[in-house]
Amino acid sequence: MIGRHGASLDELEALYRSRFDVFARVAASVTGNSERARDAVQEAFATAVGKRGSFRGDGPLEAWVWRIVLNAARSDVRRIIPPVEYDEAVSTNGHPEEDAELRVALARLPERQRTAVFLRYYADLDYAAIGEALGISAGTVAATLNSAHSALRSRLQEVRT
Amino acid sequence: MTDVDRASLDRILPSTRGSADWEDVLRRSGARHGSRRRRLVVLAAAVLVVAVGSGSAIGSVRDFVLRTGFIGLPPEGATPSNPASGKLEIWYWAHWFANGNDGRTRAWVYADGRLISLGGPDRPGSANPLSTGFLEQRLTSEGVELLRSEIAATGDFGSPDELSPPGKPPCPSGVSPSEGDCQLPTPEPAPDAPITVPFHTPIVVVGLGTLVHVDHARDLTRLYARLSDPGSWLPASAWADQDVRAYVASKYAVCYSGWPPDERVEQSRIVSLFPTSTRDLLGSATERQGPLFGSPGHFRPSHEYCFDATTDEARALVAALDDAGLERKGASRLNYEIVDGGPDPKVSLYLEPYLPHGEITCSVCG
Repeated sequence: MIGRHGASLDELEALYRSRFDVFARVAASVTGNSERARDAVQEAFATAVGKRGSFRGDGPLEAWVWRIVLNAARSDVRRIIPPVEYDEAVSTNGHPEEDAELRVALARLPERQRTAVFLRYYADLDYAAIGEALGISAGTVAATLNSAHSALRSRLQEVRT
Repeated sequence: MTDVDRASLDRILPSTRGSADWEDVLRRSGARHGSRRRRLVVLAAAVLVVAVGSGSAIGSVRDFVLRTGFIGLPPEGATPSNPASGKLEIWYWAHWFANGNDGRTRAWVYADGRLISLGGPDRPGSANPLSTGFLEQRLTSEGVELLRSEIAATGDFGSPDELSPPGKPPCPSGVSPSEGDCQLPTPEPAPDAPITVPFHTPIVVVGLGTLVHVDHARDLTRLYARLSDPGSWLPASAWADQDVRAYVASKYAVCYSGWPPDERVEQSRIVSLFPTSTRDLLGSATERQGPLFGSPGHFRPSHEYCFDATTDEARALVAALDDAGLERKGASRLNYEIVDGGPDPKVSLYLEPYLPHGEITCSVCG
């Protein structure tokens, strides 16, 4: 792949406007708080605007931004005081118990596995992009998702039997 | 694996608070770049400086009082809080609720009447939408005593070890403590139930100790409301000067650490990443244990290197860092991060003002 130098402000703005909700909701899975997640996304995009000249184009722009967003969300967790609020997710599918089981199973995953699941199945990133976002190789992404699947399957079977 | 699909994750993830705001992104980005911008900020801050007569016999001497909080260093010429040191009488965190939001206010009350606070709901004089900055008001001795009495009458005092401990991380929605390594969020206590003060909102009266138990939860809620906004209930006679001004410190702590901060990095390695002109000064820092790092149940001590700097020394350091192109980060504290070719922060450096009792606080905590 031939690298490029820099991302344009227009590209970042387009990504922000089209994917803000996805960034904010996945970030909330790290911060545990929607308000702080939104702030992390705002800070991350501000960082991306400032650093856009250093984007090398080795992978998709979105993957590069995801890494900054996840760093910003994790940085928020650095604070000494835990967030008081923990958002209640609303189940609207008529199967609240199934959602609760999945929520339990996801919550018990290590953070990297959980984030990989959200990036793959909610943000629709491919393995290479997830690897870029998490700072790991595509092979490690595959292993991480495989471990997550095994843990989720085991947990859900345990709950349902 | 049919259980994990976009629809199910869509139902599980918390909904977004607030809408997209690209202008806010650009504002945040613009605030960090360019000396011209910084000069404009300083100029704007200078415009906000309100000159007030000292009232002293020396008519030509005037104090420059900032009526708006600031983050980092004060504009040139701002008068430091007087006197430079003070005897701490009371300090507290108070949990406030307002307009659908909540947060925590910190305050320090001194024997000379100074009430220095950080944080609060929609306070006039705030530095920015995310932080008030350190703000100062002046109580009379009666005001200090009224505050002390209000706290003293609320409950029992003891050691900070008796506060509700941080324990394990809060359980996500739908997860029981037996299922995960977590604890249920503290339920809202019945108003008439006794309550132990949460660890994250300590309330301390020098000579009495830390407020640990309250007979009725509603009394703690009431106390929080009063401590968050003393102006709402203290009489006029309690105030020597209720007008808010920015607290201007006489010296600053400069601290730096590797990332993540719980991993100790050799001082020389960190210092070598900073501009040459700053290395001698930064090398004079001594190691200390910084604020806890991590999440509930997984707090770890951080390792950082700190030294004290006068306002002029701090200003010279900041100028050198800015001139070297280092990026300022954050809206709640003057903070720099050095990255090494990627988005991960490798080294961070921050400045915190010393409070009159000779300690610093962690502005970004909480």
